[in-house]
Amino acid sequence: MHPIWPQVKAFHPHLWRAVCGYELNPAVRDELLQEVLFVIWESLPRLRDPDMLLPFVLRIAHNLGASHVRAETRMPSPVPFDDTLHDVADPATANACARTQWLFEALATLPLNLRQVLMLRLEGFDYQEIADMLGISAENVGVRLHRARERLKALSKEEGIP
Amino acid sequence: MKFDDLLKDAWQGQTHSDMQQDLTRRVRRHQRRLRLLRTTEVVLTVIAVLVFGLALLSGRVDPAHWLLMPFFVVFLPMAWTIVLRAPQRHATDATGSTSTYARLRLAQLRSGLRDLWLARTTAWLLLAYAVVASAGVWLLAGEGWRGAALALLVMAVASLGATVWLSRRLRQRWLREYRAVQRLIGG
Repeated sequence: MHPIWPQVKAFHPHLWRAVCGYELNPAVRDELLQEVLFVIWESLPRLRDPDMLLPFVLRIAHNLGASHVRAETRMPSPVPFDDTLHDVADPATANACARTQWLFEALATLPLNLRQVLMLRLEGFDYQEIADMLGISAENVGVRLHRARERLKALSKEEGIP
Repeated sequence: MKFDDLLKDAWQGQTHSDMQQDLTRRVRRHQRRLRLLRTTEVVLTVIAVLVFGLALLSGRVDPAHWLLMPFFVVFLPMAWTIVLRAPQRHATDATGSTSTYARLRLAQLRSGLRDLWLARTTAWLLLAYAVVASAGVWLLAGEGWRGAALALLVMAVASLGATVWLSRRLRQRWLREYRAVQRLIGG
């Protein structure tokens, strides 16, 4: 096992969000995450600067996500919801969950080149870091980010998302 | 709250229900699955080579061996070509920037699609060989050869069916990936 591998665990939430940005089906998300983790495991010896672990693992996740093709899997059949048997979340939490679900569904409608830039920006990277990860110019990152944001804004207005 | 902050909050809200699962165990499971698949392929090849090799070495070559040997001499290298040259991602490919990865992946997919065409053509040629050989056997040879000719024909039809089915599935998947990656570069 590579000595840095245990540190990858700290970035599991980042990797999971990246995977969710490319795939909406929960079963296929897990498969894609597994593939991403496998490739990270295999490529860790190529990492020169351990401080760059997060960009390194996210670059792999976004590359695999971009070329990921939705597998034809059956969605699990829905189970009827019974609020007497289940704990119901408070309205604030339910609202936050709904917004998260809306965001990932809205991301799926964006073209890949806009989606990648927006996801990396939401992860907290600056223009230059995103440009290095994607192999494009920082100006191009700005343009794509602006377009992605405008599309999401328009979509949220259309759907009345607060 | 600003739109950007709302997006950030929503983004951070996506968590995995099974976040504490051992990542190492997942990777090892994936590795085991890949090794099992490759072992099965090697075992099947070794069995085929042993069956024909032993027959040739012992000198007891019956009609079935004579008819099936040319089939497997073509089929096995073709199958291994497809298995080894399939556009699988190598770990190191995905560590580059997205534009570099996309160009590399496009080249891999193009080569994979060409190999699928080769596999389909080979399967049709093998069926043609089986039909011609079987017709010759039924017209010219004795009873001993007919069973072998029938086995050859069944094998060739099965091989063609499997190749066409697999090729169609892979072709659709690779073409969709090709278009997705191409849009990534073009955009």
